[in-house]
Amino acid sequence: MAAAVELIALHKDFGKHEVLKGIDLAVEPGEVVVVIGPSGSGKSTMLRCINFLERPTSGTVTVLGQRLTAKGTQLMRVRRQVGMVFQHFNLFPHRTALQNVMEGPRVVLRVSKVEAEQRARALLDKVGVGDQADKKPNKLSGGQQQRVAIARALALDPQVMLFDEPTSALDPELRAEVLDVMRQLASEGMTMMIVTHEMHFARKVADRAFFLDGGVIVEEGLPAEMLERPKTERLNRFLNRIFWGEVPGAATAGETHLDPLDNKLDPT
Amino acid sequence: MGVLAYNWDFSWIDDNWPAFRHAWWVTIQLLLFSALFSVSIGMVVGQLLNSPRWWVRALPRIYVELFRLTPIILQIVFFFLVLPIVFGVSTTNFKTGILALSLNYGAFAAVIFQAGIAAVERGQWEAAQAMGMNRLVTLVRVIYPQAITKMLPPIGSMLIYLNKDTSLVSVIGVTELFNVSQSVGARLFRNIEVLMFIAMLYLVINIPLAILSERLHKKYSVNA
Repeated sequence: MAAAVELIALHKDFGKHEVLKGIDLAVEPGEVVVVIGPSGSGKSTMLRCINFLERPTSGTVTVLGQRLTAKGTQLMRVRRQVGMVFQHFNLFPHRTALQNVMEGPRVVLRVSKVEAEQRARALLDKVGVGDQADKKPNKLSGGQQQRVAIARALALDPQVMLFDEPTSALDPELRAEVLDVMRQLASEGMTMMIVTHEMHFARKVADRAFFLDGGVIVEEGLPAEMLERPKTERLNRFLNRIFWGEVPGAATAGETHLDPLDNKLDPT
Repeated sequence: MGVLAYNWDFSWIDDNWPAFRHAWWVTIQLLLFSALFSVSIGMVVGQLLNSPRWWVRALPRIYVELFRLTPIILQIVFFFLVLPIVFGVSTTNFKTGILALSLNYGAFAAVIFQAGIAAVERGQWEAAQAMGMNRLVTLVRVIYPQAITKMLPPIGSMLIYLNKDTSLVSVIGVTELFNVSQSVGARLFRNIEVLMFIAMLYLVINIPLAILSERLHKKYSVNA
């Protein structure tokens, strides 16, 4: 079966600054992968190259068997099949939650108003904000906004979902509600690529993890193995920093802090 | 005692009202046409000024700076002298006046549109594009509805300035309010009263504009 997303020798410079220095990876349909790494490692840039929000400097991006080019119609078609969720939600502030979710089907897919609304309400229910449908984004909490944003992306019936640090702008107690929705999506078989710092989520939900540093993939493997027994010194250092901080003695504080899913997962 | 010594006389208004009414109508027409054209110019040029390609930005930028950084009265007289030479036809002074006002205010409007569009967060473009909207659809559905709220207050002040500056085309003989006030004032020896009278006619247009502009400003700066 063809890969859902395949990157070959992907390079990206911003002027003289080389952010991606040759990325090769393939994500199979139905797979959930997380991308971790320090800030500035290029993980967001990599994700944004997949739907050409950033144009790669060289290398190829193949999504659902279609090699991406800058050509308008082809690019628009591929983008409709790839949903994206942003760190800062990027909801349309002049439209209600319901209208935000209807916008793609109405404008891009040209679905009838009745059908778009029906579908939008179902999606808002699915992500647990059905009762907020008529509110503008600025009346919603961050967690609610992000769930509306996920519903908005799902409304186009995508084959692949990209998440760019979806919980990084949220207060810790609001993260769980977003992670829950993502976990449910994963269990339904959605192909997902998630740039995140949520290590527990990575360990429990993802099939595979990639560790990016300095614009290259330093390590990849099963999330649990990678997090427990990092093979490279760089990953080891990174994990130490995010789990324990630089402060000696604060050893387990990070663990409980990053644990919004624990009581809900792992029935085994 | 100077003010009291002057013998105020407004009795001429009745007899001269038709002349002023006509001149007022000319002023209003200058305002309406120039507003329409300058906003249209601003919309297109403002869009070009935001292009990522330098060669698309270059000419619009030169236009904007040229018209912003030279006196408007110079531009009015310039077009008055040059248009007949270039086109070989004599156009009316009224049209020449509208052209000069539109080009000058078009440059200001362009900057307002440019800033309004640029003020919409980048994330809005990205969200729309990630959904597969093309550039035009993104502008119409996502960017303009947000930018317009940021642009309405400055457009309101621009129209107030434009209304006042219509008086400048009096120098090329367009018979608008100020021009007529000078000829009537000279004939009656009542220049001061005439100026006070037309000031009132300008205010009748500009006070509602100012109130509207202030309301929009309050409404959108609270919501922002």
